[in-house]
Amino acid sequence: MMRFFLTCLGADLRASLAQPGDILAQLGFFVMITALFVLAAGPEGDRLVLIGLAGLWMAALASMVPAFDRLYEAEARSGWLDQLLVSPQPLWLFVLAKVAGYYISHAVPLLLVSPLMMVWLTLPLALLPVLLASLGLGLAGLVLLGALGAALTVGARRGAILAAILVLPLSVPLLIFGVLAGQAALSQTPAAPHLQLLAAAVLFLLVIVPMATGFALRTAAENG
Amino acid sequence: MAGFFAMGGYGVFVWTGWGLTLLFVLLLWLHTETRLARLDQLLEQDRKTAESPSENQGE
Amino acid sequence: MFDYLANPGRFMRLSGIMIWPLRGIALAGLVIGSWLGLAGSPADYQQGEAVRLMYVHVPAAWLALSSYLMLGLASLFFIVWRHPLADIAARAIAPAGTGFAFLTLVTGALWGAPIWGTWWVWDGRLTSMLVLFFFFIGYLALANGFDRPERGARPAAILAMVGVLNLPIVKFSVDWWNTLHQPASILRSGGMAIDPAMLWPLFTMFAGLQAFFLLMVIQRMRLLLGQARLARLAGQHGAS
Repeated sequence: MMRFFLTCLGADLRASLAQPGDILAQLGFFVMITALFVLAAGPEGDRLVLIGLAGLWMAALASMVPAFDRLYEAEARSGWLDQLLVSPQPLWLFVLAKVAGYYISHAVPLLLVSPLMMVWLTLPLALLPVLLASLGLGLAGLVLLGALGAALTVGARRGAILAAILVLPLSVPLLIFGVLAGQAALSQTPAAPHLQLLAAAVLFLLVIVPMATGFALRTAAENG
Repeated sequence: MAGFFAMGGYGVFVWTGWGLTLLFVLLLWLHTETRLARLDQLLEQDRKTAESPSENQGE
Repeated sequence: MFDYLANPGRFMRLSGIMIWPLRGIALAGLVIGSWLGLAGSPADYQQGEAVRLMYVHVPAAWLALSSYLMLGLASLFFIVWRHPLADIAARAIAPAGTGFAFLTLVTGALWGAPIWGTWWVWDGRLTSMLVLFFFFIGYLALANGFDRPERGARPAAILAMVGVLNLPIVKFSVDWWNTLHQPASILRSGGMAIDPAMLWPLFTMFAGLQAFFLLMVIQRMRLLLGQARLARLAGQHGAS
């Protein structure tokens, strides 16, 4: 089972690396939104610190969510969906491998440039550990939700906007706990309670999303 | 009477809130019932054409 | 009991019996409740006449929340037992539930404007209701987002179930957020004592709106079943 997971993950990562343009475009989107956010908010230090965290999370959401409908694009093109029906492997494991692959290829680059964005947003460097932890956990939850949203909207009209409409309301707890953890660290109060709640929310999604997504993919495969 | 409608200055809010609620109820109700009536008509029409001898029942 | 009701013919017969009583209760409840709520009850000593908005706001909020739970329950039945009637029930619940969630937000704003002095307050209940409204929007968009409507049935059911499971987490997170961002100097509507004379209009409007909601669910189910039957008949005639 572990080998199956790793095989899927490897194939997914190779496919992502073969098309680095997608990842770079998303990264560029993230950077641009952050820059435009500063232009909209004004560069005054004190105020920017207060809302910079919100801007970073909004930029992360805005750059991740619109791309979710393409999560299974390669699989749909190669007829992978049809093979699902006859595959003996559990579908939720497919989904987990897909989520892990997407996280590594699309969320980790975001995390890597987020320290640079902190400089733009004039956030103190001491915030870095909490920010990386909260953003890392939050993006994991977001990718899980995106996998579900993409599976539900396979074959739908207006797939991209539809997947976004499904994912965004479900991501409210992730956003709240994530931003609160950062704000707590900014105001020198313990961020751990918020991070624990965020981790709990992600764990909850980790339990229900692969199952629901596997089921949605089977539905999509059966109905073409 | 004017005093009743003014509701101590809150009339605008109270009447708008109640009005919108009852308007929603009315619109949804009418919409559902008219569509049901039209559907019944169509089903009846369909039954008639299926029963009429002029219809070719060719097996 | 569900198996028994799952036969569409039996559903049509049983629901047919309930239509006229529900129409009667809904109409009587709304007319009498409106009279009691607008004219036949005292004003609140704190909120004055504005308290009359409670009689539409509270039932609407209850119906919005309970209809989303019903949506999740119907979706569960549809996924587990694959009864087409459960999908039809979910599709019939969604429009009325969305409407009530919207009405809750609007009447809440209209109530808040004079009492809180602002149209919108990011307090726990209002924010949770907003997210619930978004959940409804997502459900409707997904259920009707496919070229063949029946293709949207199972994705929408999965979404509704995930949504119901997520609702407590959303509620908790919003409350958690709210305790840390307590907006200053706001009159909590929950702190108000309800006069017994206010219970009658509240109860009557409640009964009227609840009956109306059930009537709409049943009627829209009959509508969807009838439309499916019409399409089937048209197909038969076309084939013969």
